[in-house]
Amino acid sequence: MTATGSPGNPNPNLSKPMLVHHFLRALARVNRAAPKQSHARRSRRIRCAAYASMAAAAGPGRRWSRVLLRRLRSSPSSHRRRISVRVARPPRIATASSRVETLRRLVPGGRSLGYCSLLEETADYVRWLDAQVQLMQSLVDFFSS
Amino acid sequence: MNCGPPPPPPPPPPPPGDLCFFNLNWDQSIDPNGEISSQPHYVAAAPLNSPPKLDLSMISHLHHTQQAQGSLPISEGLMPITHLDQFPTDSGFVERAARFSCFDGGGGGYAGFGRSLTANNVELGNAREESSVSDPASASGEVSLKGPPFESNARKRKAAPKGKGKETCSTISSNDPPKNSEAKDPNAKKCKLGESEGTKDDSIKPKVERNNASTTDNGNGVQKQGKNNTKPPEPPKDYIHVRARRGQATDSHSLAERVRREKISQRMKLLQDLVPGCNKVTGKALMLDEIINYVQSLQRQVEFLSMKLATVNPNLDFNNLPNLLAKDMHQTCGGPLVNSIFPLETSGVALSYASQPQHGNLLNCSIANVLENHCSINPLDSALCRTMNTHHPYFNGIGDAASQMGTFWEDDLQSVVQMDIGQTQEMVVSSQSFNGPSESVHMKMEL
Repeated sequence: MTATGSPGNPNPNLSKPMLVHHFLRALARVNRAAPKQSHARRSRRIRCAAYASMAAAAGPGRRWSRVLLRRLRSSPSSHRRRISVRVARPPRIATASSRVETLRRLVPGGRSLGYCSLLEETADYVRWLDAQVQLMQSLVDFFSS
Repeated sequence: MNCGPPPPPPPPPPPPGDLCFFNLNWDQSIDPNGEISSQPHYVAAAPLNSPPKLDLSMISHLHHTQQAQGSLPISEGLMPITHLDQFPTDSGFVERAARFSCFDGGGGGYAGFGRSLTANNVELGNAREESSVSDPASASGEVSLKGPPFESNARKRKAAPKGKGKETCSTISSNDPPKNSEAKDPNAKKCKLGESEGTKDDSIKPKVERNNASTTDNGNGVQKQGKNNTKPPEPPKDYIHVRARRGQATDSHSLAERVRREKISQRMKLLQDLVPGCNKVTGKALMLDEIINYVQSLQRQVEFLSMKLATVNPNLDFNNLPNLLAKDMHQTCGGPLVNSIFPLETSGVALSYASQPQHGNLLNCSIANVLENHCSINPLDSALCRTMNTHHPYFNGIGDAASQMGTFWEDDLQSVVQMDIGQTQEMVVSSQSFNGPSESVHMKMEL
């Protein structure tokens, strides 16, 4: 899945129907499973659902979506364990600016990427994130109206 | 004309090497130096003509000399600085070349195969010159090895840029005195080393210009020239063709780095289109700042909106929602040209979200379906539901500000609804019931 297609077609494979589908299903699941949960928990679950639906709609072709799904699917305890086990990453050569490092932290799975592929992943991630935000915003407006 | 893989330096001559040999000569014969002097009487053998890729003009550089010493060939008409070079070290090349019958066209003499650039070649001011080959009768490498050890300064030129890296070959070659062809043995060894480096480099970096690649292959030792000299006759298909401009470095590392930089700037441009406000910013650092800010703001927005959805959802009565939406639909049902307007706000921009009534219905249904709700449909909407059954949802986004959102929903909801209709049995049943008599339909969707 090469999301960076020709510049004339900015979103070659941004399948928003799938995004809507996944997110609304996840939202329904959250509502069904936890109708009486606290607000913080609900919002956290919804946030996780948003990211997961985004990654699921994007498919496994991108690194950020794979990393995001893996991170979300693994339970917090196992996640913590995995981090503790993980070998410390060799320190990156400090030629990269702090901005690039910040971007690496922001994009899921971007820590191990080179600069070039980091930009590619960022472009794809931004696209999907934008779509997700639009969807959520429209839902909020829809529900609150 | 893609030359084959770089032939191994050892003596057994692979056919690709032969091809490359000819490619080389062909390349060089195209050089716009007016050096193509037609001397067709030197074309001795048919097999030379037989490769279709071969330009016959190369024959014009085939100087037939009868001297076994391989002295300077005479090239008439032009004033080339020509060196006839023997390759005492590259026996494999000699054997390979000797297999061509064209080289024994002289009938037993040594065929000097000289290539030359004219002196009015401003860029180089020097000659590139090629090989001499013995005829097949005496074609063992031994013979030529025992010949006077001439060295092509072309080889030296090739070896030099490998070491210096940044320096262009043209400067090096222009520094070469034209009479540098007298070779010493250590020099030859050094050049051989450079040659092997060159072949290795080519196998690693196929982006090196073809001209370079083909010449390093057979060790004829012509390499990179300035831009106006470099005329690859045919761009290779499977390579990324990188052409160095004048004054740019031409070694493979620099070429690869240039490709990488181009890629990065291309992605930066892509991101510039994606991130709003990035167009005004100049400079990569500021652009990165903008990108980081945008990603952070989007992530915060997701967080904020999920909080908002969490607050909204429990208060939301899903049974009321479709009614509410249906009411919206009824208002627009009377006039087909009147659009129902859903005010949407996206990132601070008020979007007027307009749609045809059918779409309003579709929107409601799809959301209601997915959210597993009871959807009560007013009898007035039966006509609209019929359109839904025919799988021709029609949606029209009106309003400039709404165009983005409009396309968003247009893309999405059509296929969502179609997917839901097509795939869910309950949905099919319920949509059939929509066509029924005008009464309030209660449907429950299961996902």
